[in-house]
Amino acid sequence: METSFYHPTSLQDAINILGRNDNMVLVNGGSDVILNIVAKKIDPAGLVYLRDIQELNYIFEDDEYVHFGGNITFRQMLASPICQRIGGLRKAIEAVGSPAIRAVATPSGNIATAAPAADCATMLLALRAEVVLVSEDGERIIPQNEIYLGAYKTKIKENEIIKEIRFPKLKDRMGSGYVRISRRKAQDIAKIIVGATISLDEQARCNAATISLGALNSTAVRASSIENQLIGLEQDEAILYAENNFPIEAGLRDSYFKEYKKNVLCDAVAQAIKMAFLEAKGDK
Amino acid sequence: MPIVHFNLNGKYVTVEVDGKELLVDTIRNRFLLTGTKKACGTDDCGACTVLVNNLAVRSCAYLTCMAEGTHVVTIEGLGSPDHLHPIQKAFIDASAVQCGYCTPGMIMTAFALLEENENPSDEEIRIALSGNLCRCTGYQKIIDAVKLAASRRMQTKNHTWEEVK
Repeated sequence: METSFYHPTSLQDAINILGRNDNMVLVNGGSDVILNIVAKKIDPAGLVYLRDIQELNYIFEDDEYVHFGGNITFRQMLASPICQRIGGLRKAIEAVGSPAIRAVATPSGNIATAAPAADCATMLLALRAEVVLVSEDGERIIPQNEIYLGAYKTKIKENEIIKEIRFPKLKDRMGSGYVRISRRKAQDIAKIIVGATISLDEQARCNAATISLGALNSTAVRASSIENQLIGLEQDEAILYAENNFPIEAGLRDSYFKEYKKNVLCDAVAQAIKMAFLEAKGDK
Repeated sequence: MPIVHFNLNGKYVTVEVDGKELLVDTIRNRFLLTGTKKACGTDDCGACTVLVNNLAVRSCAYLTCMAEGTHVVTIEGLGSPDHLHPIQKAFIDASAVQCGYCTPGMIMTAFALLEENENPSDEEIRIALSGNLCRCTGYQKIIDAVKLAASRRMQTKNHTWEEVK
């Protein structure tokens, strides 16, 4: 079947194309979608290329949120001073594929593909990201932790486009951490991904925490069993707690790496927490 | 079928392709520029690396239609057997080529790096090349070649490739 290719230059044009045609697939960087096309997993009637929509190409922060547009690439994020300040996010982006992949691939695609071991999406989950979707039916906002239906499945409808991803701005005495365990340094699918944020009170005790886990379940998940227990703890107490308490949210399926993941996960969580504490204290 | 216009190695070209056609296939099969290699076909090995608007991208995971209005450069656009680009010359001088299959992708990636950073550190070179696989050389000679090319350009008056002898 021949495949059409659409080059919308405005968000409204893209919305109209999706509204008028069936079996359309969105392409941004294409690093996931194109491989699915080549592998004949999908056979779209048309491809809608979002890269030329300038109104989706922005990164800014206001008093409440960090906002980035739906076609911002990982490379653009890495170059942004806003992302550079968030150590966990910076590390997560640096872990995505290779420089050539980061030049075209996007965090929007990372969330929409919903791969179980998505590096940046796992960190965004810890940052409490929200996804702004638009279609002919209007705009809706879904918290990222409610968007997944399973591996490679989301609640994003066929006629919807990710307009923006946003997450609450990290305030003073807040820090982020990210740990990834894989066999190779580059271009390897992680065996364990942990994202973390820690907020400290004036005595440097944790007063709020988020922990996200990737590559362990069918989707990235929050580990609230650990998060809740960190409240009131100092750095060393929090690390000790994480080292000795396995997150009940981690669903270890039977695989070659099951025992390895089981033995290593607590240390990975503890490392991510340590990084977030240090960043929160300004000791990055 | 979609008609795509782009600049390929300095010449404006027009091609009619299916929306699913990959840039690597267009380059190799329609324009017979076979220096760009198709190896893994899964966005992993970097042998198909070309420049699109000066960014190194994988042409096996890049649709030809995405190149509309861009400038695409392949290894043939960088140098020729009679007029090697200084990076190609450095790869030869540093013995960074064995079977040669990964070399065009390595050189295109190195070119993109050196356009952004004229004097990269070893670590920066390794990160830049981290998406390009080589099964022969063990990488060290490739790193040496990129450093050699960078140092030769740094020694010129205006730090340009044209001045490198």
